[in-house]
Amino acid sequence: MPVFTGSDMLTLLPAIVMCLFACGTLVLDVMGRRIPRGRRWLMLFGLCGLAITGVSLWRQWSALAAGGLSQYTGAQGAVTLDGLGFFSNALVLGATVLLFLTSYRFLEITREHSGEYYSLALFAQAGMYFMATASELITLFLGLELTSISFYILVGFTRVDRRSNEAALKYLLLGAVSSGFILYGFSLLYGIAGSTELADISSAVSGRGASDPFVVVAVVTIVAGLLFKISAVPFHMWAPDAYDGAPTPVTGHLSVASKVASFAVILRLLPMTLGSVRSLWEPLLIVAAVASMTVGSIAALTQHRLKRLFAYSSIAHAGYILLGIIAGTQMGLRGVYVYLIVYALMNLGAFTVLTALHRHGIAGEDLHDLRGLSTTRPVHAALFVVLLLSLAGMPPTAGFLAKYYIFTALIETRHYALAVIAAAYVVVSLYFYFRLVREMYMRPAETREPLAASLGIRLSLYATAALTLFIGVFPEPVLRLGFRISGVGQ
Amino acid sequence: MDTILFFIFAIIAVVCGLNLVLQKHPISSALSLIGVMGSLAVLYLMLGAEFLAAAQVIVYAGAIMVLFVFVIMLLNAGSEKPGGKSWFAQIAGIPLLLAFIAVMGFVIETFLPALRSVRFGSFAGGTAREIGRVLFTEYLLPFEVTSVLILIAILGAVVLARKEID
Amino acid sequence: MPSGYLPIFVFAILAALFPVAALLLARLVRPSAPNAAKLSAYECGIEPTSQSRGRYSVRFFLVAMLFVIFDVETVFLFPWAVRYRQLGWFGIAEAGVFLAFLVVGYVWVIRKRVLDWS
Repeated sequence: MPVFTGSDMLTLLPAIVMCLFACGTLVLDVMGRRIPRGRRWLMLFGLCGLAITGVSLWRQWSALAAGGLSQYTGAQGAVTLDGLGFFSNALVLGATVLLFLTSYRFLEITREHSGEYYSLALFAQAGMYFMATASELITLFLGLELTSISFYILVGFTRVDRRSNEAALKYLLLGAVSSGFILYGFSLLYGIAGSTELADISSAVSGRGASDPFVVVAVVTIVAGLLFKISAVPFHMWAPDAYDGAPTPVTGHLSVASKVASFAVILRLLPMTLGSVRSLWEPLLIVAAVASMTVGSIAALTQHRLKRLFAYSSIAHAGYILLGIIAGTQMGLRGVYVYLIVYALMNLGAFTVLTALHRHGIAGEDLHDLRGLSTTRPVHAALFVVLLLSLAGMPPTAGFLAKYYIFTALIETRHYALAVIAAAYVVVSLYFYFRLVREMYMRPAETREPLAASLGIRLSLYATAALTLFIGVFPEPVLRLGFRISGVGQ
Repeated sequence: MDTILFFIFAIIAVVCGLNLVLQKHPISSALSLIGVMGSLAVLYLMLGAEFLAAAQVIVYAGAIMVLFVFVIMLLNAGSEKPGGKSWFAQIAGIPLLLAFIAVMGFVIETFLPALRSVRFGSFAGGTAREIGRVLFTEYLLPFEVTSVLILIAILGAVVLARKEID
Repeated sequence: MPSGYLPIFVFAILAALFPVAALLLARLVRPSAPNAAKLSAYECGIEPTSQSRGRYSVRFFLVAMLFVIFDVETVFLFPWAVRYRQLGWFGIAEAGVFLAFLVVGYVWVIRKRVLDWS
């Protein structure tokens, strides 16, 4: 009988830490009702957990580096530590830290502050840990479900807001269908290989080839389910509603962390496991990428609700990231990693600004809520412009660099048509991001109510905007770190 | 014998499934869902998945159905009102359904000879003992992760339903 | 199908036949004389004032939900219980971890006063 060894412990350490701290938050919440300012302690306790998670991730990485290994599989083959997992986990960890920092004031204002919020965020993060590292289907699926279910609840967390409830319901129903699709595909893969290990599945599928009907159905259903998770067209219908209804910090987290982890799953399943049947899934991804860029960029033109606008913009960004996977070369893969880093930074920054717009008595979710921001809060407005430029892919910001990598990879692999289409939508996106700038700089303010600024909000805004600019101007250090963690070479 | 039983319960499952969709009143739909769950349990049993069959009856036909009926009561849902169908659905619905069945039948017919047919009773790994062995050795991690998943389900139930209480 | 289930199968058929047979028998034996007065409530009842399907409080739903969740948990523990001897201390530790998470959930539900009805 296999026993649980110390090295198994090491492969699971971050997940264990997250789950323990999530449980701790719950217990602290109900036991510490009478502690003055107890809710601040809850947040600090959660941040403490994140710090320890970071340390344990670093320990894993250094243990691997000390052994000279590029990957290590533990826990009866259920979890594999490799560059992809470390990269995704590091990014998700950063996103969760920003979530905690920006949520405090928001939850105070909406009077929804309780321990479940932090606990669910930590559980979601544990789920994303398994999404990024699982090398076995059951663990992978459980990771997906841990993440999705936590997010369904977080989306519906604002109980007074009907829109939040509606969003949670829509997200839950559509998400359950997509999980069903993925599970159906997984069960077919298990039927093909007789094993749930991704390595066995990879060899069994390559033995059968791309013309086998079971392989076709399995690939199509899995791709459909995964495209839903990254909100790519035609499985994007949930995104605008869920993004609009969710509490703003949760929207930011949903659009960044869950998307990063889902891209980790896509990278692990499609190119790494099902690479031998590339001819099956590549056309699907091409269609989804083009459709995502089209629908995302064009639908965003007419939105007047800020979070819906960013929902469509993130749909378009998912399309760009898919292009890197379609290119499939070393350059394309690096493009995906760079894009994910940059996307995480700029989107989290943008949602931090949206969170700050939410004040007592002001929902701050409409385009006109940005009016006059340049006079009332010039620093915020300027940083927001930096982030928007980056989202549009303009130099000298990081967004340009991300798009540069993707376009280079496309041209290297002779996907000229895709490159032209993608470039055309960059121009379109410039217009709708500029609409936000126009509201901030060319319209007078409607209210003198100051923005909801807390130390956490300011910190995360400054950090994301500064990093966006820094990567754009001096890309070397951050990119080298990213490539080193993800193991895709210099 | 096994084949006959299979067809009996497969037909019961399909008929109950159709009834579930066609019934006007949600309670009747819920009751036909019990029929679907029950006959599925028998099908699992015939394939040798004894534990799964028992779990299917206990959790789905039992607990989940109680929950469904509770929700129907909670919402006080009356009969479904007819109408609201688009002209497209009315005209094209049945032909499209037939076309779908034809295509599926063709696909299954074409590829079926290549498959090995199911032999009832050849699989013996579905007992609770066997599942206990696999679950606690090979799939140890998924088992523990499941408990976290259940904990999240508790959180979700309370967070989302609490709205109405206070 | 494992042959041990034959008695259950026979039992299920009998259980399904019994109410059908009883109703049919009663229908054959009794005289048929429908009358409006027979449908009215008398001595042992009062006239209904509203529909019998009233709207339930969400608390019932919450209890039902928690019941399902803990039901699923029991299903997971059952395989451990039948294999308890072979699994030994290692199995106890595993089941302990499994239960520990759920105990946290249970304590949280209790302390959150979710189950209080006052």
